[in-house]
Amino acid sequence: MLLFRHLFAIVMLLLFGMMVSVGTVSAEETLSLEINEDTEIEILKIGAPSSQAVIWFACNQGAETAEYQTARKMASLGYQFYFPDMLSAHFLSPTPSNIARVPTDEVVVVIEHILKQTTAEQVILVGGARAAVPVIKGLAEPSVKAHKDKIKGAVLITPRINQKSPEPGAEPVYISEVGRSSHPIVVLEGERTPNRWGLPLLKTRLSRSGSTVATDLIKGVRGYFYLREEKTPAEEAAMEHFDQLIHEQIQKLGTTS
Amino acid sequence: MMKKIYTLIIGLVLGLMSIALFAATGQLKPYQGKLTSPQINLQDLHGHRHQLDDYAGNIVLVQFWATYCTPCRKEMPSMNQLIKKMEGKPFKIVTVNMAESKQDVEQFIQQVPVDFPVLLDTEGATLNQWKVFAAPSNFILDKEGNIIFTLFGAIDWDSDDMVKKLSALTTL
Repeated sequence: MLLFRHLFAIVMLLLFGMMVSVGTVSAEETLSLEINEDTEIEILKIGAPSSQAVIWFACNQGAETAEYQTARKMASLGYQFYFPDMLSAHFLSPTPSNIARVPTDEVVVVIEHILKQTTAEQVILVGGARAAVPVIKGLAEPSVKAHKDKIKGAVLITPRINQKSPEPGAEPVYISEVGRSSHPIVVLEGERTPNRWGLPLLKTRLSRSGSTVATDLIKGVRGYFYLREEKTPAEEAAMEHFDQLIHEQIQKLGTTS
Repeated sequence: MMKKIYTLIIGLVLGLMSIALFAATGQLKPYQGKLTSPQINLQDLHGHRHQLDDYAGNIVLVQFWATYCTPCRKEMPSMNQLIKKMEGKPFKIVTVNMAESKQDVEQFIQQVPVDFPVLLDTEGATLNQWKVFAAPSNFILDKEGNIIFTLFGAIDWDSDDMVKKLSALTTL
């Protein structure tokens, strides 16, 4: 009888532990950050407080975006995510051109706010496709650069940070903030995109002011594959491990060149 | 001596006129790259080696493309039509696939048959030399093999306008 009681207590404790764990991992809340009288930016927080926080500048907002889904999976790996909605405050739709036009001062305010708010020891910036622009803009700012230890670096997923369409026969022209960062950067690019041929040049440009830059190709996928509605079988397969892939890149930050 | 100067001036005027003509389209742009003697030395799908010198004396459209590039797929039939419309004129099309496997390219060509050579740049060395970072990337070469114009993106290559302009180039 005593043994049964002990077993029952252990099972109850395990169940309680699992409930707490699941509850914290899937914890989500929305913060409001007032930039000025007219601008209030909402920041979606996914995951429980952890030693590593991720500020992800996403291309889209909405519960079912690939970014949010990935964050929910990664929360169990020990990350807390912050998704600032940089566009809704200005009544802008999430088009690539709008994302690239996000004011740098607002990006900086958001980053600074999250750095103060989080208890995480390290913060990672993530941005994909055109949403890599606010990441690059933020990293170029002296006030953000000053957080040498707290910001671990940035992961850019199939970044599109050109100033204009590439001309045949000419090197890509990147936004002016490229090459003004000092934090480590990892660039992930699809194997099935012409942009992969610009990776060596992008690496050189990004590292101009001290950033350690690593690049990697994702086999069999096109550019910004995770945002595409119609995915190829290889892209569907890549999505299965997208969370793991980003986790690995975060671990890589600053360790490879 | 005077005859040489006269020929040079006429050549310059014709060259400038053709550049102005193409620049005005907003699509074909004068080449601004630094590649002075572009080279191609690649095999096609049948294993035949192609060099740019083989095309000397022709106006040549060199296109870099990829199977995953949807605009490339769409415009290729118009390139077949362009060849027909330019028949009898010193004009050739050569395309270079951007480092994909022969199997992938063959599969694509079965779906989109083409009437021009498809060369395989297996290691991407040629596209690196030509500075290609987007698909399709097009280069128009003069009869001496110099790149004179570029065009990024897909167009209707067999449009009357394009046929007229390319035909004009073949007469220079």
